[in-house]
Amino acid sequence: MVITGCTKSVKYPTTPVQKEPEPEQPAEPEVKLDYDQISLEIIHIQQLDEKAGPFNTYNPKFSFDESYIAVEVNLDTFNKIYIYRINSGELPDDFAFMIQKVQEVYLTESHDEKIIEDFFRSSFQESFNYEFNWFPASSSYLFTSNAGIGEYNIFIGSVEPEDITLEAIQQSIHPKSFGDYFMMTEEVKKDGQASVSPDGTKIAFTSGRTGNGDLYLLNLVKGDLKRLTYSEDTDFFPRWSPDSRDIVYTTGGKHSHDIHIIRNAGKENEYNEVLIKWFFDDVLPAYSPDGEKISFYTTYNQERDPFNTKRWALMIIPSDGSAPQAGKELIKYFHVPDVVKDNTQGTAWFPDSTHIILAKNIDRDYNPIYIYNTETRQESLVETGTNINHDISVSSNGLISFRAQVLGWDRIFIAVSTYFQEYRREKYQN
Amino acid sequence: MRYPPIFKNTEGRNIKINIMKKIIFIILFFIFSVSCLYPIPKEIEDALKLNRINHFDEALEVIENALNEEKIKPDITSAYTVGRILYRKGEFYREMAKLNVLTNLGYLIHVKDREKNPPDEIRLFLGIGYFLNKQFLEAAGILNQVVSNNSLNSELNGLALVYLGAAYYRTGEKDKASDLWEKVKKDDPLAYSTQGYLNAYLGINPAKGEEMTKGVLARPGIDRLPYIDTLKVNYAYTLLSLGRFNEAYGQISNINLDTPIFIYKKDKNKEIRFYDLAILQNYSKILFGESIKNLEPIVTASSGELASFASYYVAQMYLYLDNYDKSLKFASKAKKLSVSSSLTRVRAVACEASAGILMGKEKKGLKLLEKEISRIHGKPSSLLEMMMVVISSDVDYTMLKDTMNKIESFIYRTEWERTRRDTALLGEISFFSRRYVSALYYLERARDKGNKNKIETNDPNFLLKLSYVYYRREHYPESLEIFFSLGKRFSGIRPLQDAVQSVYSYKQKGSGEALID
Repeated sequence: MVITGCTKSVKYPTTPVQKEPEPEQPAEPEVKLDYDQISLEIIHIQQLDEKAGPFNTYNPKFSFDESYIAVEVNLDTFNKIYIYRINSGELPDDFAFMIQKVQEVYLTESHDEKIIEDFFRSSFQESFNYEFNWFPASSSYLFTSNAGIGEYNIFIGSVEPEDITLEAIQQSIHPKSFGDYFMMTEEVKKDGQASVSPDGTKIAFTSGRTGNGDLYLLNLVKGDLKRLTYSEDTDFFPRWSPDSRDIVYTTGGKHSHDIHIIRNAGKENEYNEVLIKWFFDDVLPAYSPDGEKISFYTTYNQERDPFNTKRWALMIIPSDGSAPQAGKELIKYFHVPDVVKDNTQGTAWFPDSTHIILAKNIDRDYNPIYIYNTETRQESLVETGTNINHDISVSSNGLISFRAQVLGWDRIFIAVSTYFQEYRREKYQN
Repeated sequence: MRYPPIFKNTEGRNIKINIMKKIIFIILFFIFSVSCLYPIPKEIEDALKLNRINHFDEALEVIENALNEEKIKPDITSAYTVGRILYRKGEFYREMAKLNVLTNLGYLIHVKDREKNPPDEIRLFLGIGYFLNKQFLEAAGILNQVVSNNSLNSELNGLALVYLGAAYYRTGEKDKASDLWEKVKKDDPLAYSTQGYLNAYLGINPAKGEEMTKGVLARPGIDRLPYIDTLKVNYAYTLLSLGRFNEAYGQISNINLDTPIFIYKKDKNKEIRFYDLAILQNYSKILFGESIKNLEPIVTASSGELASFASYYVAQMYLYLDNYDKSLKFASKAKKLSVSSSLTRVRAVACEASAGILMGKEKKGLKLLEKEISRIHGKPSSLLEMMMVVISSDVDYTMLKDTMNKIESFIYRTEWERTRRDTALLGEISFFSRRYVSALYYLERARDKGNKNKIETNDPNFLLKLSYVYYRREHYPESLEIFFSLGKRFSGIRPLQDAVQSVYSYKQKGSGEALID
């Protein structure tokens, strides 16, 4: 039995031939829709994979062009990532998706000669693969893995065998090969929560290498690594602004967490700004697709009970820092009480940057799903016919995925919104 | 379910046959050494997947069918797979048996203490519980009262005589035991069969035990008795004691371990279901016998690493069967065959030390443990696995207190990424040292939070332990929730569930009402 990898830290060689891209701009969408003219509804729901069995699936993530969806699959000591290809019908309104599993992503000890006892030793090889993140306009992805036995590191792989993004990164920073994947970090302490910038040139991630969890920035063009935060608290869940300039994140300790933002991340004029700092817990910030707003979960409640840590609500603030950090004025930005907080997903914004889809924490209705209008503050129930809903995400063109229970086990569902329908129609006409 | 013996028994045969077998094994060794490199057959893979989600019976059934349909060959791979699944199942039932005795004992003590005049049926099963919990003096005391009162029906009175005799036998009063056993009537099937079983269990005369238990099963109409499963297991146990492992295993197919052997009805609405408290322990031992049957030949026939694994498991199972000499022999083989850094070696040493302590060589056993601890003190996971072997072997906590403290100080000083199993083992250590709050903390942390009672994602052994800890902490709904879930998959949970439910009812309703349900 051989265990590969997991040695000391690696320095990425610089690549003199490549130039850092010019100021980043969000990619122009190939189809532009006037969302004001479309009534937002859910028109089709289907289960991703109807395979029965004692396993859970969660954390669905669409690739940027909705060709693929990645989900985590958990059974006992294994946590793998399955990637499915989403084949839709040729006609724009044909939403009976053909789903086909194309890849299982996981790392494990390499066995030169596997013997039968290895199959009984599952508990010693807890291969945990999670925190999946797609690169923009690419089949490449990042994920965190303990590689079966070692420390947690960030790895890169791709669905397509000759993916341009992966090839470029191989050429620029020469990551170490590990089975079918490559190690983006190689530390004894845990690295994870990688977030790819929308322009695909940088990765922000959380690392335990300094002892308490700090954010780091890996430049995929130059290969250099920069420490972004130095606080004594744990800094985590970094999320890029759509223009790839700023990183919003959560920081805090055991008692409460706040929301901070790093402006001009990785640049000379980089600085850290506090967005929210009060006695309530505030976590998992997410940008609206237009970059104007930031939503996050908070324990603020109308009773103003700071010790009520079980009820989460949704707040939305402007991303420019114009909202107060605390106090009564901040309460104006309070939006939805009693939402289901998912531990790994931020808020699911629709591409119009106005609507959000969320699960509400209503036990009697088994966490129903609602579409919420952030401008009118109106919400409407989505009849999904599913129970215990959470892990909701929305693709860049309005395709929805969420997790719900089927016969006691968690399964992933895909839902089509009218936004996605219009996108398909426009694309078809073009 | 009965599985064909993959390797035939070599015990009790003459030397010529043994020499021939050795030659065959040498030939097999070369064949298997090559065959091991081929991919695992689909049926074995399917069985391994089922084993992985703790569906032991289904896994064994897949292999049995594949062997019967000749889809797979009876070779090292199939033998090892069957042996290991049976070992896991056996350990689960061994744990269940121990906790069953403890919960039922707790319940019966509760009833006895709170009822002004508990019926002799309570005293009888309390006495049996004491005996199985190795509290022989307490067993003798209370069973003596039952026999003296002579208030029970002939069948239960016979059972009281049998167990009172056994308690006397264990306390060294063998003559008293013989006198009592002579009074047992042959036409009381339960008492006579149990006496036969105890003949084997106490090592008095297993052959006689076989004759007695077999004779009972041959009687007309015996299948209609509510305790037929106990009679079958009693017979199987005598076969096990005679080394006829495969025959013993053949007797326990389709056994229902959830059937009470006697129902006491106080009135129309009040009843107590009494179960055979020995049946789970005997059942687990029979599983171990069949597992040994499959794994023992691999020690000779296989290559180094697999032989070392097989050797350790065989050593551990002989220890569970109270055959310490054979346990030491196989533990020593496992040590020789395994590499020094391997977990198998650590476990083999722990097994050897445990066997030594259980044989009365306490100093030698502890010294062996100390030496191994200093060798692996930087490896907390290995230390935990080592202690799990010692704990599972039923070594008394008082003997290990100092060693345990030392190990825990090593473990808590080390920072490492704990697996779920590591956390559960920390819970086991806490449980063993009777720190139930700490045990609850670790066992609960080791639980799969998303599927907290599902046996597919939780080791059923740990779930059992967790349920018992909840019971000890008087969190009865949590305890019952786990038992209910386990009971849907495994036969034999009902006696534990009933005991916990009854104590819970008692606490809620007060004296007298606990006899309900």
